[in-house]
Amino acid sequence: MNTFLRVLYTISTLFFFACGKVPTTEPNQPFIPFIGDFENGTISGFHYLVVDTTKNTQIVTYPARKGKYALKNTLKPEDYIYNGYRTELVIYNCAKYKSDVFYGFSFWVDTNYQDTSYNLICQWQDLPYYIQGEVWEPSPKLQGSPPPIALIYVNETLELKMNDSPSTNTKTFLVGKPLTTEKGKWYDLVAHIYWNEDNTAYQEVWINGKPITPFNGVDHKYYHRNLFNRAGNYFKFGQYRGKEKSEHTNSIYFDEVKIGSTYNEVAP
Amino acid sequence: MRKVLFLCLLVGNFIHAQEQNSLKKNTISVDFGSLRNRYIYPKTDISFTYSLIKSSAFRLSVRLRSYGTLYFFSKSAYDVTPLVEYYFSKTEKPIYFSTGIGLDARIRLVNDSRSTATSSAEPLVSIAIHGNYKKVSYSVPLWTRWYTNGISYTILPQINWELNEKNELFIRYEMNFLRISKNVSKEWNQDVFVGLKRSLN
Repeated sequence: MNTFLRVLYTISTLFFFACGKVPTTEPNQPFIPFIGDFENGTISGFHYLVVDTTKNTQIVTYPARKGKYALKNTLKPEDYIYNGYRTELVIYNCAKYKSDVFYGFSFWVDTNYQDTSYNLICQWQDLPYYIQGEVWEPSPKLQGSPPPIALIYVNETLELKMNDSPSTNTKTFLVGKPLTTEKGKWYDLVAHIYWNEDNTAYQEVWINGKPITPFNGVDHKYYHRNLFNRAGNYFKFGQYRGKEKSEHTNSIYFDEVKIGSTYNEVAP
Repeated sequence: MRKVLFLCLLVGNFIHAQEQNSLKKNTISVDFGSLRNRYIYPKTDISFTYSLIKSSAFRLSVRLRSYGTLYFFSKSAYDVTPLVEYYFSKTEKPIYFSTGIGLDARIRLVNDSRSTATSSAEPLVSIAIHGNYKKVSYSVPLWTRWYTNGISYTILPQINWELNEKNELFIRYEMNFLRISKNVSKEWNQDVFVGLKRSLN
């Protein structure tokens, strides 16, 4: 009997330790606040999607939005990496399912910037639902789709665009009105986003302290789902042209990249 | 879920028994699924079913599922689900039942710092309703899995169409309900598969 109990105990224990967690995401998991002001003279703290960090992502002293340093982000016509023309810095685990997050950064479009077609200055890209077995590149390959939210610089205007479908690239739409900008000038962006896979999700975006998301009668929260699944999104900034090769070498400067829980925590 | 169960019970009560007994058949099946929640995503299953002892109603089945492909071989994720079932009938009838225990092993191979997927194995209990009429048979299993922080239920109704003595075409719908106990977080998801089953006897 003792042996039987011992075997039963061992099997039960093995079973217990082999068991994992339910393959779904817990809501409102905490995120780590982030400050990327380049004041240590490096791009440490970021992940990057960059061909050559010594050429595409240089630390400069002019122009700096605050402090001594800023990031000069340069995209050359031949800079193709990870299935797209891009030079982007990345922050993971900052857009989790049912979390409420503020993002802030400042950017300056170089006066020599020449291209007039679209360029994603920042985006919150969706993820495969890894815990339910998904990966980036299934076979056969699925239709790629634009990110759920992106800030697009096109022909000297800024557009906040959302995408409604993870399966097509024809469901993007403009949120609010395009904002005309000038080259050689700092713009401060703050985004307040509640992440969810239904329409309780919202996004509220300010440029230089003025909201660019439309007024809804109460505030400037634009309610629309911004997650394709519960894996959450991740944040990227820099320059992204997709499959469209740029004609010229273009630079945009970035500074004061922050992620936090309040407007004041992330505003420059 | 309740509607599907009710419909299957209703159909089962009005159809007639079939003389041929496929309960003793060993089978292999291959199926593909790609309709997943709000977007298309490919999955492939290969399943084997054996009669453990010819004279009794115990059957062993193993399902191998791969994710992210319609060609089975995947670099990202597999599920292995062995299941031993006892059938409360030794012959096919319009309606009969089975129950079983097994293991659902999730093997996650993704090497990506954005991934939180981990491999694990959970105990699984199955109860199922089966039935058949002429060239059509159905089964409606309900799987319950236990995790360290919750539970999940999956209902997998499947309808088979007998093409000939050896082969059957089938369609299966899977609906999962996942529940985390601590903060009562829950999620529904669904898949649809089509496939072919072949008798090995």
